[in-house]
Amino acid sequence: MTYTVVVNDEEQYSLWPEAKTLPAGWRTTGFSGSREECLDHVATVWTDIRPKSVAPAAS
Amino acid sequence: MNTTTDSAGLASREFWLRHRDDLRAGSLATAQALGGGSHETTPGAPTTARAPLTSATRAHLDRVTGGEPLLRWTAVAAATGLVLRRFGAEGAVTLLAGAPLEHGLPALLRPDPAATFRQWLGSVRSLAAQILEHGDVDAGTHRGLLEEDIVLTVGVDGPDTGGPTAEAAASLRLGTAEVTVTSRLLPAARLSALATGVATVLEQGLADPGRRLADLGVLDEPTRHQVLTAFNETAPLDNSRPYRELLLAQAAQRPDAVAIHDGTDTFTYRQLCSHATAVALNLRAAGVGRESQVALVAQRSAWFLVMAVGVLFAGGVYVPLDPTMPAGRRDRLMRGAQVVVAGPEVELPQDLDAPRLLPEHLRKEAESTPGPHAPETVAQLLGPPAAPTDLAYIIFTSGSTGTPKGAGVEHHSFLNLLATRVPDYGLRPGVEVPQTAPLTFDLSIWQMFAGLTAGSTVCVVPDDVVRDPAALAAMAVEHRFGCLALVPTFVAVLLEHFEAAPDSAAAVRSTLGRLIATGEPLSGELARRWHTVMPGVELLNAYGPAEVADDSTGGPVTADEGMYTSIGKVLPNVRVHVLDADLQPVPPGVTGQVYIGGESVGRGYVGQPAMTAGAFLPDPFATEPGRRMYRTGDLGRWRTDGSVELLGRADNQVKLRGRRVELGEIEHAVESHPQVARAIVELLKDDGLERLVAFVTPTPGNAPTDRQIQEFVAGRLPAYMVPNEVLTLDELPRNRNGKVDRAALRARAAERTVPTAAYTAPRTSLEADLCELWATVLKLERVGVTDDFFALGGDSITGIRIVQAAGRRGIELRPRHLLEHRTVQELAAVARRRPAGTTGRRTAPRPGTGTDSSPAPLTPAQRSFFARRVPRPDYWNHGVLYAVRRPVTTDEAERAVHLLAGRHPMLRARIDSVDGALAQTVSDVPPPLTEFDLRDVAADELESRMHASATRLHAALDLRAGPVCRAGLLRLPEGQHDRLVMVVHHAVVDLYSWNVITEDLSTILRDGGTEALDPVGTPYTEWARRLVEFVRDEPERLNTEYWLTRDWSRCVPVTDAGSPGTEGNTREHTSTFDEDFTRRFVEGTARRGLTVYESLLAAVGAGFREWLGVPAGDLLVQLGGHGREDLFDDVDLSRTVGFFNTAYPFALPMPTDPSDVRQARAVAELVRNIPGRGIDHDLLRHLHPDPALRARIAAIPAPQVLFNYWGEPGYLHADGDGGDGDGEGRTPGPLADVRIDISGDDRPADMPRSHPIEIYPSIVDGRLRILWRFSGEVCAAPRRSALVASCAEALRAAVADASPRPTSEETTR
Repeated sequence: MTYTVVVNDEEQYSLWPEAKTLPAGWRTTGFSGSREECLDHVATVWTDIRPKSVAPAAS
Repeated sequence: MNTTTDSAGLASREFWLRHRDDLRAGSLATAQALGGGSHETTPGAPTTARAPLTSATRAHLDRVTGGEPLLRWTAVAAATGLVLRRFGAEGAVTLLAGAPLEHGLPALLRPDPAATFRQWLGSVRSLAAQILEHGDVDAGTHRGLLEEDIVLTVGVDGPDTGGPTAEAAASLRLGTAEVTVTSRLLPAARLSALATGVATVLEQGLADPGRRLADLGVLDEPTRHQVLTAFNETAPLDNSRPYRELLLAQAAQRPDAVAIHDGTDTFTYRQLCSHATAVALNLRAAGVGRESQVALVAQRSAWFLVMAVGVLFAGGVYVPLDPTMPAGRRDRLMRGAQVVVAGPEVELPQDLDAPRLLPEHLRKEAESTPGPHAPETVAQLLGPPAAPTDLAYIIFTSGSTGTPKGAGVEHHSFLNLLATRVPDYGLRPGVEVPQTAPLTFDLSIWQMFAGLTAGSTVCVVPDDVVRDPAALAAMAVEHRFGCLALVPTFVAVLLEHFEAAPDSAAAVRSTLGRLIATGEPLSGELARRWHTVMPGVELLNAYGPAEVADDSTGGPVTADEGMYTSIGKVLPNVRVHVLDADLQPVPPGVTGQVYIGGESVGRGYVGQPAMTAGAFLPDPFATEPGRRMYRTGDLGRWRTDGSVELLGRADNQVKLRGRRVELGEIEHAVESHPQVARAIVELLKDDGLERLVAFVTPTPGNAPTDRQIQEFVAGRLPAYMVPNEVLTLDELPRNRNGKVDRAALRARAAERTVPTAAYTAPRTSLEADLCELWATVLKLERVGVTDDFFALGGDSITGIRIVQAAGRRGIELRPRHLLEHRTVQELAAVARRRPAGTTGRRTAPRPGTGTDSSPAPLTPAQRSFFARRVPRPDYWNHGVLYAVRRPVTTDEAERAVHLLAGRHPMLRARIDSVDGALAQTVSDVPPPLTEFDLRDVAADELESRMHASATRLHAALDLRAGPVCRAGLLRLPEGQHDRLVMVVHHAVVDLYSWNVITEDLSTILRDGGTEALDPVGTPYTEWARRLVEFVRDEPERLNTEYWLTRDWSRCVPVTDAGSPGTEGNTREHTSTFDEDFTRRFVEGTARRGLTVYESLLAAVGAGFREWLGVPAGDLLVQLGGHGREDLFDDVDLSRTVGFFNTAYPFALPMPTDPSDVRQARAVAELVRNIPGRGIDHDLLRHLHPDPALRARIAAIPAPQVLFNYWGEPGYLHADGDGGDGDGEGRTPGPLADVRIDISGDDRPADMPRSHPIEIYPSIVDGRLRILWRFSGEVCAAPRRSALVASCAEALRAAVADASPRPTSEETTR
């Protein structure tokens, strides 16, 4: 199955099956591939899992 | 469908056979998706479910299909395939074609979630065309296409269609206005869901054919609303008040009420509030603020809880760490901490940046605060409380990769959890809440924090009380616990106590309000027992992973739950979804994966973005955009009342002979047995033989037998799900959280060897005799009728011995029977007892004495030797030296040798050229016996003199003129047994022959005659003639193709030396492994489904790869077998002396990892596929009438390595009882102390070696021994040692946790 890397407004990343319609509130990042490839990609672009609304306030 | 086969039929047959495996797999998938895999499948009255087609769907159908029946079939089949995918069939499914296609032909559908519905219709239409094209299939082929009896026929209503066909378990039909499904076997709910699903897919798909399959649901609107909305509609619950405020409110209201106590300390709400504030101020001073992790590394105690509350007061993140966990692991988990709170006894990493605070120090400061911090001053001191989206705590869970994952939970989730627990568990002022769970177990979260928001008293129960059911019960009564939360494993332990101590049970019943089972699946049987023993005490189940704030569902469990208990309904503000592989909701009753959304969704794995992204995914069902849901990895299904049943882990699902099997389902079935308390089932796969093992603990006072449990399960589950083995344990190993430790169980099962694993006693006298024979020959205490011959250590040689011993008992068997029927049970089915009255010895097909004096051709074994054209062919012998344990006269010894040679013509053979070709004849001249007087030889010279005497005999054999066998009687000094040495030319003897010679000679010396011996079967010369006839008359029985198509190009050269050197310059190494290692190696090998020979070969291959320093490749090795192959029914070679060995090349793929069982199995697979176990090669090469073919076989590259496994040579154990122990208790003969090392030089020093490296492994007296014979010219000493070491290392790696203790010695010939 092919996945695509997606992200929401809180800058939380996830994977979504490319074949499926993406739920509201999420957008694609343009990266697609196997599950492992996508997870590897996430590891490079998402370094802090804190939601956007929390991260600046705390840091 | 035709019953005859014409040429078109042949093409069809080919078509179907090509797809047979897929069709069978698809039929299994269909049966499981329909719920037929494990349900009661007794046919009942036909049930029909109907789903109407909307007028729009009917119009679309008409438009798309034009009313054409074939296209209508295409549409309904396409929809059905997708519905089955939604029901759990993730790959391909098989349907049976109904009208208008050829009735009963299978259709394999593989829905692609990325395809549009239009594309999918196109694929199914092509499929229909293919089925039509290949409809003329014969009945036999057709019958073999399906695996399951639960098949679904899909058809279209037409004028000529009737009801469901007899063979179809379920029939789905598309009518003009509805979809109907009829079945006698399947549950009505599933039929209804299927009909509705098909109608829904048709409706959605035809309305918008551009939609992808992944976006097409199968639920009609009411069902979709039910599972997505109604089941998730919960009572309103407020989780907005910050934790600090909740606690301060209680402190203000009841300052003197006890908030927390353990055996030692008690803190009132006032003290808790003040101390927690003091702790928080200290943490603040150390830099703790929002999102700062505070690692608490200490034992559970009342003060610990105060500190934990202090962390939350400070707005920090509570991170409990177990002080007793291995330091390395703990240090890793501390990396993110801003502050570490740990006692002086805890050793912290040197490079830790975070400041360390001491619990005792914090306590002193808190208690020395001049006046207590009053609730109303806290906000002023500490500022605003944590925000809902701030992180509250991190619980580390063990990851499957071994890296602990820190599940971070935010305050809103944390508060939601606490808010749900308060009403559900009756938390209120005056109620004591026992805190029993380890701090690292997420169950501890609400146990610690929830009661404090409700004014209850939290009682920290010491570990030793938690583990002692009597003490726990007493404490529950003393403190009037309102509730008790335990994992089911502990619940079972507690119940046992209650069952044994009714007074304790009664006391607890009168005080305890409810028991909460959580953390593991709760079995229906345990629930039933609870209600029986503890009526009136509510039993609640709770479920939820740490990643989503512990509990997500919860509710009461009744005494009558069936196999699976309910884990309750969805908790307030939580959303639960049961979804299929395309993340589409499944209807109630259908198993899917459980996903959790809503308030409880945690932040993710702290510091692990990729892991987080993989487990937390967009929630397509959330009411607000951008929300996430958590993939639990648990399998579950909705009940129609909105509660959930949990079926186990998705990754606990195993494939067993093509079927998806949920281990949890088997566990539940085993636990349904009234005498079983807990059951864990594991599929042990890596052991080669796949077996389901059930680990059970019995209920008190019971001891169910394996058989009882297996029969009980067999009544509930399909046969393939019945455990092969049941291990009853007093208790199950548990991990720190009290959950069952599956890894420990697997390890325990792996320790057991297959032979003892499942002993089944013989049931008939024939089986009993065979079991006894096997046990005698294999040297085992007992053998069960289901034990595998190879797993017990049997090989083809022992097979021959068993056949021989069986013959003595009047049981007729062929050697190949042992290879084809590998258990006594199966063997007994082909074995025949000779009728009484003919109990005499096995009659030889042809007389075995010297009547055959006409020239016979040479065998392939002999030819391969003469083809080497060695300079002195007369000198290539075997020699064996025996101690004679009683005085014998020269005449006696001579007579014994003559009697021996009288039985075995090859000891009198001559080999000479006849008409230009070598041939063998048998003479009447017996082997001569020479006497050597060594009585005056000094002790330290004795061995060398014996050796020298024997060498004289060796050098005096003559193939043409005779003799080919000589005997020597060595008279030794007073007090020592005389020795008898037998020297025989290798062209007329082999290793196996020595078993026969030794037994016969010893018996003759004992009895003075041959009466006690079995007649000899087929003479060697007869065998030689038969082989020639065989190849001439039936060459098609030989696999020529195999040998002509081998690829030798991957073989890595071992040396580039041109000649393998001479025998005189041979360097020998012997590696001997101790008994313990050998035993583990043999048992491990059997467990992996390999033979010792195969395992050794794989290990040697790995050793060579390492030694050669190549990344991969094949090793060209010459293999050899004993060669007494079971080619002819009227030939019995079990007592024939002669040279039978096979020798054939083999491209051994050198394993890259000697511990990799798969690679070893791949080697074994190749070995097993060698046609005729090598004899085909030898016959083709040496006897095939076509010289061109012989030349092509002979042109195969010559191996530089010889590998010949000797097995466990029987004669080396010979103590005169015949070597192979016939179990008939005869007096031992006088031959003993067999030696081959001082039996003379058996070949001349200038003889060219056949291979630069020869490897002869054997097992002697329980020790694995590997004899290495290196060419001194080709292999230098360091290289030799390196290879021996490398192979020993590979062997070590092949045996888990075993280190070989080989003793190595080098000798120079």
